[in-house]
Amino acid sequence: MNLINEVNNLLHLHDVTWVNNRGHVETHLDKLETVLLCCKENLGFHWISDIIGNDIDEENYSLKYLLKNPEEGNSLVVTCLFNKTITVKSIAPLWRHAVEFEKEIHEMLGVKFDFYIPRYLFSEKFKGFPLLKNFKDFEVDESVEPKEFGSFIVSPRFPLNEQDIKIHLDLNNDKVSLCDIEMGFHHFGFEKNAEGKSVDQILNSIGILSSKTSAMWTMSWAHLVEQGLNISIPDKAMGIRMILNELTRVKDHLYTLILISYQCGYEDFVSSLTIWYRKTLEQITLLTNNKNSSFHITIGGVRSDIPSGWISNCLEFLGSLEKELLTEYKFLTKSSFWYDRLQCGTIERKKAMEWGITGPALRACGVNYDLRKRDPIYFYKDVSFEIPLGINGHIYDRFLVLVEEVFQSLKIISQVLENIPTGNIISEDINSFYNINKNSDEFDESKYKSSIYSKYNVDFSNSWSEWESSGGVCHINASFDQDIVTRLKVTSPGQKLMGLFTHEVINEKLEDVELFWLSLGVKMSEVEK
Amino acid sequence: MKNISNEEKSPKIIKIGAFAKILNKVEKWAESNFFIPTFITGTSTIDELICFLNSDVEGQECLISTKESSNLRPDILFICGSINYKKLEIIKDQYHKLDGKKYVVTIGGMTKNIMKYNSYNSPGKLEDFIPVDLHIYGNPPSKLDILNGLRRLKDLRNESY
Repeated sequence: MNLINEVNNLLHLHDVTWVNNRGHVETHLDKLETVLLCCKENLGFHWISDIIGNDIDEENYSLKYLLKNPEEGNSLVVTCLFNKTITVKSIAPLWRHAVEFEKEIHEMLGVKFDFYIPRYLFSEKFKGFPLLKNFKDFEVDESVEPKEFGSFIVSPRFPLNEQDIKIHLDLNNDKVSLCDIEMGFHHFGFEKNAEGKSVDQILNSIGILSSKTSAMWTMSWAHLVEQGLNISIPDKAMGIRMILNELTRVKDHLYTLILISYQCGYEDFVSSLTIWYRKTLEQITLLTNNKNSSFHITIGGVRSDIPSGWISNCLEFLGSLEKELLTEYKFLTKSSFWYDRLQCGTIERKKAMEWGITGPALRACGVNYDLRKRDPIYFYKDVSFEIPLGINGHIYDRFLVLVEEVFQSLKIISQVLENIPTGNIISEDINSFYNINKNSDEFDESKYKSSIYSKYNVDFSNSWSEWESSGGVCHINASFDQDIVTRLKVTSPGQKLMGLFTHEVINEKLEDVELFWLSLGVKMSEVEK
Repeated sequence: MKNISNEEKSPKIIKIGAFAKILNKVEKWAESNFFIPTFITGTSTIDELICFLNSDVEGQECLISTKESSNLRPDILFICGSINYKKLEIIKDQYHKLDGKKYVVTIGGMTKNIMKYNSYNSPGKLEDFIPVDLHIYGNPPSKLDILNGLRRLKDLRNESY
């Protein structure tokens, strides 16, 4: 691979290891900035997907920088180890959105960066860093004064749902001059709780990150483990996962459209969309036999087959939804009020690329980036669908992209349903292993668990997966010790969107702030985890 | 930046709800039954409320009343979703703002979820901080669970008179 030689030559390093377009390189903290600059300027790693901090031992931290080349799809992990007393230089001059990751690392691990970072997930009076290995509980210092925010608070029916947030604003002639976000109402310590848990335990609990996209998170985790185990799942399970993925996308997009249309006062559209939202939820419940669709996914496949009669039922539903949505869509796109009201909340293409955002918000700026096309899994390469793109990055463009993506998702589901493969729903290897062990008299669960992961003899030391969820690309990074997770990092696409929002909302009118925020579809429970 | 006068400096909370319309239906039900509600809601149960309030379930009509909203202080607090330290402060604050005989209703599994209690950011059971009158079970609760819960609440209030 030319890229390997390029990286080796440019970085003067000979220890870059590559597995499936993913490279790993270790460097010293002194050289870190040069290495990252070189990767960005010369090798096309224009995005930083994530920064993962880890508490190695009592004296040292490690930081892992996950770089992404959006054009070629390659990833590079740059790792560095350093002493806990050292202050790390921020890489925000290279990637603006890196600030969001650095803030999180400081909040959770106490890594010192060369800029002031206030507490944002916890109250200022709470002392302690939860992800440190020796962390027991917070020390509370009652003498600390709470942080002062701006004069105006915009709170989308605070605290109501996953958009729970307090947006503090300073105003200048009815326009926003300063924006600060108060959050932490959903943080429940998922990453800390995940440490020491097994792969299966994480599978069952990762859906808790978001009720809207729980199935997507579970599929993402299952995909990561399956990649690590190097097992392929049966065709039918792939089909069912694709259907579930797209139905979840439809549900989530409808939810965002409800938020936008309610905010604009289009009550008829809200009522109609709410009914379709409920019907989509019903279809998912019927498919998975469970209100929590994330339980449908298991390592190596899915838990149950498609119920009899569901396919025809679903096809009928898809047809009705498409017809209804198209009628409303045509009506709305002709409405000048709708068009004028949504000409705000602009995200420029250049800014979107700088902040590394993904999902419908990026596509509304005209950037053609969708992992389902870029790096297709399952049968995404075989089904015909298009990536809708906007032009100006207004809320109106985001609205159009969301509606069009719903149509495309319906198209994908129809194609998969019409060509649903036959056969097993769970991998033969996993299935046979389950049966053999469970039928024997001396079935020992712990032995089974350790043997199932040693059977495949995989290097599980470091894994990460990317998944095109409804809001953008979500990342999961995990370190394992056999099947036990030692460090888990989940990154929601909303984290970058939130950072971008605080900058882009400046000079917006006060009345547009809430609409701007809701149109981004950020799920705070995912972001705060 | 413009100098903000003292009057403007006091925080102004603008509550324009994303789902205000839907929750207004619950509010109107409450008002028609002489409750004044306030909500601290969480994640998935909101879906269930939406489904419930738009479904053909028997008894829906009795939930949707056309009474005008009043400016009275709330006397009932609906709480859904997981609770952490930051949210607890808001709940306590809202509880103290309740007027007259106070009713607290928790909805869904998250307020009772053991798993999240293990978190360093979880203060524990809500009952340890404020008295809870009624819990509607289910994660998320079914339509009938919510309906029955609301009926039990009405009975509870009638018993107290």
